[in-house]
Amino acid sequence: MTKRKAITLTEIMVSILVISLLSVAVYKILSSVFTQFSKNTSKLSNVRTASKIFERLKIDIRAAVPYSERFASISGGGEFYKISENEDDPEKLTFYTNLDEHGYPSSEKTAKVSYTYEKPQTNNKNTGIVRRTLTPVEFTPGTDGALNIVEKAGATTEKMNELSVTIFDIKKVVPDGAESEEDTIPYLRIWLMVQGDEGPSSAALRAKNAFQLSSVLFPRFFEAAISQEEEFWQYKR
Amino acid sequence: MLEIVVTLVILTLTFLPLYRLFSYGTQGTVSTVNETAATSYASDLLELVKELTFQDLKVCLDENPGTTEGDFRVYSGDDAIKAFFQSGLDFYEQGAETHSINIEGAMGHLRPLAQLPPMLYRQPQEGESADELKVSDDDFKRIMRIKLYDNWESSLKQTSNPSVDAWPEMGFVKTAYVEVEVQFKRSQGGPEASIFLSSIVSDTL
Repeated sequence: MTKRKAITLTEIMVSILVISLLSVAVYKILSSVFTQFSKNTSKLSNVRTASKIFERLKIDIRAAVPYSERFASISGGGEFYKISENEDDPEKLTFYTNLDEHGYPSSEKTAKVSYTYEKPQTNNKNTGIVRRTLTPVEFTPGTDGALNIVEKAGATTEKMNELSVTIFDIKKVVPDGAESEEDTIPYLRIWLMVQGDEGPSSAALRAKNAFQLSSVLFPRFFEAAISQEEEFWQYKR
Repeated sequence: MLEIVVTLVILTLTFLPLYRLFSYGTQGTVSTVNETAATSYASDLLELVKELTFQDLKVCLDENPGTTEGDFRVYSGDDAIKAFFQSGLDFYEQGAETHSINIEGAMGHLRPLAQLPPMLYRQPQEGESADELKVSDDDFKRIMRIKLYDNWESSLKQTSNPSVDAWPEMGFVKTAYVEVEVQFKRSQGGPEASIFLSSIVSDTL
């Protein structure tokens, strides 16, 4: 009887077992790498979105027109600045700033900047949006050295984010211990949280991936923020 | 059977570098997140300090010398930074009645700095205290360094910044150099690193 070369059943079973073990290991590694990649990418997108909004906001606020008693009237009424802490009010922050129509700091041009925020709604990707409206304005001389602020045509509105902003909170804070607003300099405390809709499939993971930034700023549009010297030069200009 | 075991061991060792790569990717993300948060904190603090005059900074330094590192006075940690500004505020408040100069403006600027809200991991929800969410110095170590220059000429020599040479020689006679460093510790998950931001505070006399 001739001996034929063949694979035994045991060998086949062992091979299948080894291949299965390897497949499971490869699947686990690839799966965790792709999940982590997705989480990292979505986290970085959240970070970039928050940074982009914050940087724009900081540039606008740092170029803000300082308060002056010369601003006698504003066309169409309105305040020299507006900060809304009411959650349901979409208009969060409005002030005047030394920017040109393209949004670059300018010593000659002035614009009104308004930040509005639409709260996120479940299953609606077009919410959780921050919008920035830039309206060119002109200071026209009034009586007794006063200035009137007149809005010009050409207002532009820019959508600041694609990913959903879940917190856009701006508060004016008067530090404790000050007897009145005139006794100290109030500051702005800003909170921003971005939680994109994309990335990890689980809502819990997406929430964990949310990125928050906060900032403390001294805007020049608060009456108390301007010194006598600045008031003098503002008047001279 | 031995061949199979050896093959398995070799394959396992081959996959180990993949795990390493994956952990590097995570560290990169954590690093970017840390840098963004730290830069935002440091730039805000510098912007607030720039509102002070040289004299206000000098009062704070005289009242609270901090620790010394070379020519720098160093304030390490959130509490030390706030205490620095608080000491200047205390000085002005105690001497408010006897002082001949107008110090209301200085106090108005120092008060928010002395009460600067702590860096938080996230916004507190209802019923949560901010203290629970405070970023500890172990995670993000905040360090402020200050160096005073008596006159502009010496600061020109010390900074050796080419752009400074183009500035007019007169005008700035008293200058302070302020530097904010934020160090991230390994407990944050990313690599140990730090960011530096600096600014010059000067009085026009």
